[in-house]
Amino acid sequence: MYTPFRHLPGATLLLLLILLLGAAASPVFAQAYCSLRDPVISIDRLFPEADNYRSVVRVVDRAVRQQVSRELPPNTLHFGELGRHTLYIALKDNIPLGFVHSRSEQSRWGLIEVAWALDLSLRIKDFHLQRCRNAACNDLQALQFRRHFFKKSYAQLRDMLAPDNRSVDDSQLPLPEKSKALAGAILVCGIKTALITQYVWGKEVAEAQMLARARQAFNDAATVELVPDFRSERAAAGVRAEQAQLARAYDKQGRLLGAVFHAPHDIEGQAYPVWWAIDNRAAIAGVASDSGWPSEQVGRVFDATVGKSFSASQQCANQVELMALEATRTTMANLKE
Amino acid sequence: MACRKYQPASRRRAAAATAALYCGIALNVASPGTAAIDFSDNLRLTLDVSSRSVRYSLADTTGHSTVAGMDLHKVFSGENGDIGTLTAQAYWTDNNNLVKHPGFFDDEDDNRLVYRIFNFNYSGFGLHKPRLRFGHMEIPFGLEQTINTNGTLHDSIHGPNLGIKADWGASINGETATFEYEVAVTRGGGQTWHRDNGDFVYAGRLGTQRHRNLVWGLSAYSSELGATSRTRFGIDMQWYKGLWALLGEVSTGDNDNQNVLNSLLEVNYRNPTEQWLAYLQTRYFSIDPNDRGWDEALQSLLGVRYTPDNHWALSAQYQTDLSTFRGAAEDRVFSLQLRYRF
Repeated sequence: MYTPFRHLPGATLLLLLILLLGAAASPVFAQAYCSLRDPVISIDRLFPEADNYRSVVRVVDRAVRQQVSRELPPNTLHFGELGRHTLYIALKDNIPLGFVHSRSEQSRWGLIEVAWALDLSLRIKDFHLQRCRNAACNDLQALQFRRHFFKKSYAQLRDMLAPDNRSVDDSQLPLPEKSKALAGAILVCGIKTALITQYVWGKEVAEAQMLARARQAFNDAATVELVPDFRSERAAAGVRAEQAQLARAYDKQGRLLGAVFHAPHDIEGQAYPVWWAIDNRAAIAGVASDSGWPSEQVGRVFDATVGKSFSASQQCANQVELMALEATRTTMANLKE
Repeated sequence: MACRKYQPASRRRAAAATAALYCGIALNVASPGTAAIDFSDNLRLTLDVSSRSVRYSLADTTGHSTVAGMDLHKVFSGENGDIGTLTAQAYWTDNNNLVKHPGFFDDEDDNRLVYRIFNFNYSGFGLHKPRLRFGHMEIPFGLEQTINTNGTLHDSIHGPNLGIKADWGASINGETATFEYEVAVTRGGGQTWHRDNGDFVYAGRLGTQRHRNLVWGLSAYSSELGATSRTRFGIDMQWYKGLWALLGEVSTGDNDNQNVLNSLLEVNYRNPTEQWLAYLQTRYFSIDPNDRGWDEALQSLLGVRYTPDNHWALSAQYQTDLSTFRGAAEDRVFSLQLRYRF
């Protein structure tokens, strides 16, 4: 007669340990973990300038699935898309270049796996079909198709969707009949990737963005630390401080170098994502806009603030210097805490 | 009923070390931030249990195997990038009347801690540099390394062909723009660290990247395991077309200077959601003892696996001998497996 675990004395200890560990077990992946794909090929292909990468594993759970269902009906997440997933931060000289995230999407020919490259602003840099078993794969892997995704944000990708939320809008991107279904699956996959990356890895994305900015201003910056729940009540001088982020920058020895203040700035009637790097003596160490300046002239005015310190409005000769003052005051108040 | 067997000291020590490792991890995971290394970061950890029943027609008997263990995957990462990946799969395996069992079980009623993949792959040299793997790993040869059949009914001919499926040792592995490779030197003990004098395994595989729809690989293998020396040169391929796949592996070499030719051919199909996998496999083994003419064995297998969600996997497989070495009696084996990952 079959009696499972009849060798109880030997098995009991291990079983108890296993049950203990079971409490700590994470959301599961259907296949054994030894089958997890190595990211090197995709990172190398999507960020050829990268010399290293860092993995960040986070849980994609039912809350994320609900978020996707709300934002992109009738799309949802396939059961294989739940569980622990990895965002790879591509690095060069330890500076973040962008992100690689691989997602699978159900299609008529089985699951397709797409490795997406996102820049630091979470716009699509490129993609690579890791697994695709359809006759149209080669056509859609070609640059001619991929370039329609380049530099597109989540909102811009959504604009490429047809009203059914599953296929590519024909009026924007006419495709041969045989490629339409696969192109739709790739587009939906890209939209989900941008959404899920922001939703699940928002903190890591913000840290990578801040570190890249800090390294532009402080040569020795090695790490950044986001100031949690940072919000300034003040909204002055066209700086939308209520949407601001602040990160302290440190060198390798852990010494504070300064901070990076990031917030939308109203420039010529439009909001620009501007960041200020302010050193620990309250001098402006760098300034830039993630989406560029409205004109070279405006850029020059911002650049002229670098190296200066602002402590009172009487020192400010123009609106940009008032913005610098606002960023400095908010940052220094926090650094002193 | 079988009585409890004596467990050698080396087995007990290995089980205790593995239990201590998992205990340490559990304590660290339960109280993150209190230890120098936060083990819960970048960690995947799953309790994995399965039960298998096997019906042997020739012996007219049914065997069972119950398996429970942890599947752990942890990426160690620093500020400057990833340092390496620990994969630790140790399973308590309890067999009852399992007539055909891997050689590391003493008999059909044995139970022991079985290591599947249990190694650390150091990747700290950088993105374009080779990685160094230490621990218990699959022998890099043929199809097995890329399709990975550990713990499933679906299997390759890795074990019967090479005499060993996984072993303790070290390897260099990596990818180039076109190829992936792994070259390993292992001790020859299989499940145990212990090795007999002179035992060794050298193996390596160079293949095109596994994500492609057409994958080719070339492998070489040399070993001394107990009284048997083996050499093999192999070629493997995978071709994916829509929902269908064609897998093949051919290897030639010798066992103690007796020529050997072994091969596997498989056609499989997945449904669009990939919850169902069905496969038809043919395995061919042949040996030419002392140049007296080839002796051949041929097996055919039909299998199916259903994965309704992230937890359950239900598998069934029917295996039949079409011909056997030295005209031995032909067997038919029917297996069922239920697996749950928490």
